[in-house]
Amino acid sequence: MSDPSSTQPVGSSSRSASTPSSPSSSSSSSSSAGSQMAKLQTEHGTTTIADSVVAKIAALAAKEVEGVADLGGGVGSAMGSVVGRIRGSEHQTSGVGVEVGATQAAVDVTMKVLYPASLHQVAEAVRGNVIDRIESMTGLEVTEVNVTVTDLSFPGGQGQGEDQESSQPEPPPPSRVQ
Amino acid sequence: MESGAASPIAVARIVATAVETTPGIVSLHTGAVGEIATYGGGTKVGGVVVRRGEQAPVDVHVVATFGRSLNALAEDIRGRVAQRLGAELPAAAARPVHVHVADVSSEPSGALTMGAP
Repeated sequence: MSDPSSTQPVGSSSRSASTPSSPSSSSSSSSSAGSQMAKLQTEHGTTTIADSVVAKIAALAAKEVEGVADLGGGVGSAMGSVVGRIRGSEHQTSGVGVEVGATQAAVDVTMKVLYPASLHQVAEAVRGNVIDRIESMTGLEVTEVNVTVTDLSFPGGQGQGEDQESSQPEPPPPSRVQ
Repeated sequence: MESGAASPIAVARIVATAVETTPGIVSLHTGAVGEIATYGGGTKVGGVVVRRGEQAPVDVHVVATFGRSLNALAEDIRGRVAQRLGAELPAAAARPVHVHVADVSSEPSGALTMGAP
C-alpha cells in the first residue's frame, strides 16, 4: 500500500477500458475555455453536451445492467426521493455524480444491488457499460467510474437489507458485571 | 422579401422542421420555461435561436434518444439544416449551426437500435 508506484485511485480498474479513441480530443484546444460542458468544434458549428446529459447517460447505462436494483441510496436517499418527486425528471439522475471537462468525464455511481448477485461482478459490469455508453454517445473519455453499493435489494419485496437485519432478534450482550 | 434579408423567424421555422425530422431527435428543447426561441411578430419558434445577420450562427437545442453517438447526430442535424435552407433560403445556408444537447430521452428500449427507428 505504501509503494509509491501504486498511486492509482479507487476507480483505477476502469482506466484499462478507457481507450482514448475519442474523436473529440482534437477539439480541446479551442473549447476548453471556461465552459463546463463538453464541446466539439466542427467546421460548420459546435456541438455542446450538457453535464446533465452525461449524468443521465450514466444513470441509464447503470440501470441497464442486470443485477442493479436501483440507483441512489445511502444517507440522502429518503430526502432525494422527495426532492425528485417535486423536481420531476431530476430524480432520474439521483445516485449519479459526474464531473465533465472538455474531453474527459469522471463518474460516481451509488446503487442498490439485487441479492444474491456478485457485487464485484455487477459493479464491474456497471463500470464497463457506463464507460461504453458515455464514450460512444458523447466522445468523452471516461477516466474513472467509482461505484458504491449502498444496499441490497431482495426479489421478494421484503424491503431493504438493513430492515431484515434489524428484525432479527439479537442475543442480549453478556453482562459485564455480576 | 428578398432572400438575402430573410427574417430570423422564417429561417427558424425551416431549421426547426429540419431538426425535428432528423432520426434520433425526440424533440426540440425550449428551456426550463420556454425561453429558448426565436421571437417574431406575434409568434415564436421554440428551441431554435436565429440572430440577425446573414452569416450569424444558428443555435438549436435538442433532446436526443438514448444510445446513439451525439456527435454523429449533430452532424446529421447540420446536414439536414443546410439541405433545407439551401433549398428554401439559399442565402442562409452557410450559417454555422451550433447544436446543444440538453437532454436525452430516458426510454432505454430504443437504446439498442442505435438511432435507426
